[in-house]
Amino acid sequence: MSSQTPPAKRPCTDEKGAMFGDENVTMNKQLPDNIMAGDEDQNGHFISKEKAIFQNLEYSSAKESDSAAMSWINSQKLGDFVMNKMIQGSGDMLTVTNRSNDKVVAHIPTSGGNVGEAVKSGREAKEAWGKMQGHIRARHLYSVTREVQKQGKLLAVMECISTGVAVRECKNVMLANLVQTLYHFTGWAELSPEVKDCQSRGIVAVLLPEVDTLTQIAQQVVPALAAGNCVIVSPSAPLPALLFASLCVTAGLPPGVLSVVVGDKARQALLSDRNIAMLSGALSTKEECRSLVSSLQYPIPVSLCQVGKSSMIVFSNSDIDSAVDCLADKGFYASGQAYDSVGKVLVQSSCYEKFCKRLKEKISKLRVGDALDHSNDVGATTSKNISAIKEALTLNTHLSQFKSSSAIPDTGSYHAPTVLLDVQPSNDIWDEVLLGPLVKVASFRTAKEAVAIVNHSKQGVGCSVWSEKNSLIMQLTKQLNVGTVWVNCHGIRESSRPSQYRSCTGSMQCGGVDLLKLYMSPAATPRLSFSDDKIDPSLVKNFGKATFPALPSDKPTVDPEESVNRTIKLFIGGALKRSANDSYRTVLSSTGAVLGSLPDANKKDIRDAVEAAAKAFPGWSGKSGFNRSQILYFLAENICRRKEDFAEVIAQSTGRKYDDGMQEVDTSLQRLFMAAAWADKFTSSPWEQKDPVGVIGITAPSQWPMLGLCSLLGPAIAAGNTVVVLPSDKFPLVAADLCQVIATSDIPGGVVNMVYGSQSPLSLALAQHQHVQAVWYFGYPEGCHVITKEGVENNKQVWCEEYDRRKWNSLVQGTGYTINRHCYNNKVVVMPPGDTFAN
Amino acid sequence: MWSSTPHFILTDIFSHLPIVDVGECLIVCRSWNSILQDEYYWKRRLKEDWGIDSLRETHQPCSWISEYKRLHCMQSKSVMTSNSEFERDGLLALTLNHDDDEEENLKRHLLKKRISGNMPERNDGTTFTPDWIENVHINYPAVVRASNDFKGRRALKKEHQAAWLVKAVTLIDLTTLAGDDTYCNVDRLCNYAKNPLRKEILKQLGFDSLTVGAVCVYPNRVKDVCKVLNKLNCNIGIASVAAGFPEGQTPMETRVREVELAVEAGATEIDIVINRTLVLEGRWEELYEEVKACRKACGEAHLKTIIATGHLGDFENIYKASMISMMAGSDFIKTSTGKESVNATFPVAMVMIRAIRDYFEYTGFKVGFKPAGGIRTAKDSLQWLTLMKEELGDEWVQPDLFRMGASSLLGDIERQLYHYCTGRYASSTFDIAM
Repeated sequence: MSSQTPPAKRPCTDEKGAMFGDENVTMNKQLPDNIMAGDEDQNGHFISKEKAIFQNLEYSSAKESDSAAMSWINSQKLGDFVMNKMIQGSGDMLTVTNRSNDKVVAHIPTSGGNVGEAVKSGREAKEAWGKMQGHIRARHLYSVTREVQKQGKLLAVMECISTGVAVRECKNVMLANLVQTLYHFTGWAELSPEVKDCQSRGIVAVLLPEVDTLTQIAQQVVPALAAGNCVIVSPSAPLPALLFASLCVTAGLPPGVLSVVVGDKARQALLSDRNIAMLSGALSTKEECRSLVSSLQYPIPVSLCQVGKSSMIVFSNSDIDSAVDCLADKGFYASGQAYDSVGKVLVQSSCYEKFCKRLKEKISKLRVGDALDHSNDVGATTSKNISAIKEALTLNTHLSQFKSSSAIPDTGSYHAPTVLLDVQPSNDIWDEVLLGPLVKVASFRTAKEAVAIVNHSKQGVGCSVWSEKNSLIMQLTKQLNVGTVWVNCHGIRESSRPSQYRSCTGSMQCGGVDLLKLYMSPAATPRLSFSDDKIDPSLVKNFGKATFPALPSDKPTVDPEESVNRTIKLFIGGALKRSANDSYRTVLSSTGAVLGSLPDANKKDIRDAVEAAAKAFPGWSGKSGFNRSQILYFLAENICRRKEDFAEVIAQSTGRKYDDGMQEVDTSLQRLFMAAAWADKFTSSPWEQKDPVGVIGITAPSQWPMLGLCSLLGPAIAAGNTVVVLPSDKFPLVAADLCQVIATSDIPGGVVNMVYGSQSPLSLALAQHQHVQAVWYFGYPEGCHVITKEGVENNKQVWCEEYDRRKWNSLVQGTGYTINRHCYNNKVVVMPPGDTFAN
Repeated sequence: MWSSTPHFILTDIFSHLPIVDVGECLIVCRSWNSILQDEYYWKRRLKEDWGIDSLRETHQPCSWISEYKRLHCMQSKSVMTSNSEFERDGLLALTLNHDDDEEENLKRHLLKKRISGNMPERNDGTTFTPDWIENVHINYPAVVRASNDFKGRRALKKEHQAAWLVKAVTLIDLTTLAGDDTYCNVDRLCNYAKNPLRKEILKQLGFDSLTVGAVCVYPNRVKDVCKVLNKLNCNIGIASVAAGFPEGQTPMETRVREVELAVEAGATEIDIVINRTLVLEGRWEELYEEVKACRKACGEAHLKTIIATGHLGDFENIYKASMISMMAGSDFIKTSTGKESVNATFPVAMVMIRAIRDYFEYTGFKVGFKPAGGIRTAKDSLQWLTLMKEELGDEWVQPDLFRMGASSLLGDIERQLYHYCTGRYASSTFDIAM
């Protein structure tokens, strides 16, 4: 061998000047995890800090400084934010603690005494703000946007210390979303001429939840402001809202446009103020929603949403590793206390084991701890939520679970991210909303079963679908009854796209022009649902309870020599049915003549009708829009052939002229045509779908017996809903005739059901029926209040108006966006594209 | 019967005997004795038992058998095993080098051998198993999103940053792959590889000395590297690209021969490129055979297989090519040649890491990972290290399972460490090595 050809050496062979790494292997094997800086190694050499880390490969912490946030807090005399300044109340102190370390951050005096002041300033500001030229309002909002961007870090840290959510999420997710939403709605303010026939509502009360405050500011406060409303915020975690408000002042927002009132008393005072035009809110529990609605003093539009969690479906033909990565990341978003965090995971049984194994590895590496530390994945959880989780877990000790192996800090309110395995959907815990870092995993066999399990839920927030099979994905995006379907991703929000949570009263939405319009009322019918009168508590108490016995008429109902005695029956499931209690009520004309008798239905008939409607729903909603439009045209055709009969009945019942009746019939035909026209135009894209709501209970307006009914019924069934209609109890005979036409117009049985009787008790029964997904009520003010309250129970969408306010014969009021908007739920499908790589 | 058994079979059998029994066999018969005295037999034993496959030209005569005896006797002393079969021969011949610290070195070598049971076993490869590359689903946007979300999730500040940067230095394959490479710049590179950080910095951080993971050159420069490293008495890996690097568009025979020649020249690690044509045409079994042939040609040298991700079109191909390369016995899989338009990126790494994880699950073999191309900043390198720790664990943040192919990275790391140690920003003209 010559010196030019040195011998080959194995890599890692140790000689003098050995590779450091090799030595390290040795050290690692012999001294696992025990290497400490300052110790001595085997050879008696001092180990430096750096050398110790070199060997044990530990991470450092990266704590975001909270000094700016704390000095802001200390520099302010915190209190209610009214007229662009802090006003301190004189009541109890609200103590804000940092959940990460239990340290007291601030004391805020609360009293509720400043609500009157806030409302007053709102009233003074709303004229100018609401009527402001779109461009000028856009400039204001742009200024707010810029201030929020400039102070973004401060805002994120404030959210972090007051809610305990990891600062990374506060900054990268919530703040980013807030900024994006601000830009989006600044744009809508500029484009306000495009938003036709709408005007601002006035003063909107916004209730914010304990966690995810910035997201909810984006979701509620920003669109309400852009729509030209003055907003009074009642936050559960006051600091981020107060900081946001003061940033708005820096941005030059006029006084009174945005106020913040702190504390429970203030919240109560806000709800009993007659100047509030709308209530919007997201709250942690249904109980909160319920008690809030009960304490409302005026019948106003309500959009209340209980915070829920999303679901995830993982198919075996998916990128399972990515699904696991995504779950470990997004599943515990906001410590599992927000809409976008994952509560339920369904995994196809053929890949269940693999999925769980991977998930276990991944979860064990999650780091829990101080929310201000960037290197922590999961921050703190509210103590209320922790105890709820602990309680649920003790009831389910038979289920296997695994959690992160990260050490939990001694102080602060933490719960380790936990995964509960093999949960059966029949177990109560499955559908229970447990806010906090808990994920439940179950297996399923087929896609059909997965959809059934996800849809069998009180919640319908969002669901991600993991599969690489396009035809399967497209089918699922149609079938899942949720607001957002994420395909191979989770928790991506786009403020420009209209998603709508299905677990809400009213319509809790997340973006797009529909969200803007939620905070606006139709220009033609402002304040339709808004009464200046306080609700009479006794009327509320007795609503739907008064019963009048159905007595036989003392006049002859029919002249047997002239015509045949007619027995009108209920129209349920496409058939004419006797009412359950088999009693009848006489119908009189305006002049007091007996026109006939109608069955007097009760709760049981409502039950039957809802069952029939629910049964008909899958078939009807599954039909194509084109198909439904054909049927509606055919209905109009058949009504047209009996025009004179209808006009006659209307004239007789209402005492109006025959021509007037004919006019109503003609307008009704126009409504049906319009509904038919809309039928194939609701959903225009697979990415933004408009799903029918489900079974809608309609309490028809009493003054326009045919027109009111057709204006509501038409769009409802055109969009694919099935309905239970309570026709006008003053003039019900037209509806009875209409049933005959419906029965012969190819409308499948159960799509339209008519139940006659006293509207109040029946509408209450409808509102109390858990399977009715929406109620439209046109009746008494106290009815509006009671129905809204009942709607909270199963998250019904409630649309209430006082009966005599809408002019049904006007084209603007009898048709259009407001009516159509109640016929569908928006659904957004988010499917990030991409597969090509490099060459 | 025994007398009719061919010698080479007996040699084979004897090489599996425990060394205590070899003494017995020596005195069985003349034929066995002659086999057991044969240098070939001892060369083989030396290689199998001690991992030594060549002897250095020295001033003393030495033989394979005497070297074996010497090592065995050393071991007996140091690990106190009671076998003295070979102690009667007191001649200590030379294997490694001749200096005063020889004894010390040997002890360390033995210690290393002893713990080698815990060291990752070398990937022997498996038979071609198409099941492992079927039903592969990788969602591009999800992987890209996950890799973006990953960045910044783990913090390394101050002393942690410094320590991890030092770790990064030991994981670098210091590379020069240029047409104008000569002995001169290879010499410079090797010196840099041996002393990648300045003594003051090392001392301040509490380290004695350290080297990079390996030096990586073209086959023609391997001899230069060997020469310089010998001169420097430095035993870091000598990596050579081969097998038609960078495009792999040459006949199989020349590619295999290139590997053999590089190994003969002294390379201890061979970075081959795969034949992208076979991937794009879905000819997986042929790819398997080609990589396997290269592995065979490598012999004891470790095989790093470059799958040239930037040429494979989609992530599923990247996964499949990684899996095939591991099946064929690669010790490392490597992202890129550094010559494609897209080189080492995080999403690509996530896909390859998944393949490594799956392969480990299937076979129990730990395969290393080497991103190459585009890793230029200290910050980048830390992200790579945290990715490895998070996805595969601490074992994959060691030189035997992780390397970074880079040329300019070291300078930036040095700059950062200089700042950490002195609080001052370094001047690139004199504070940082050239």
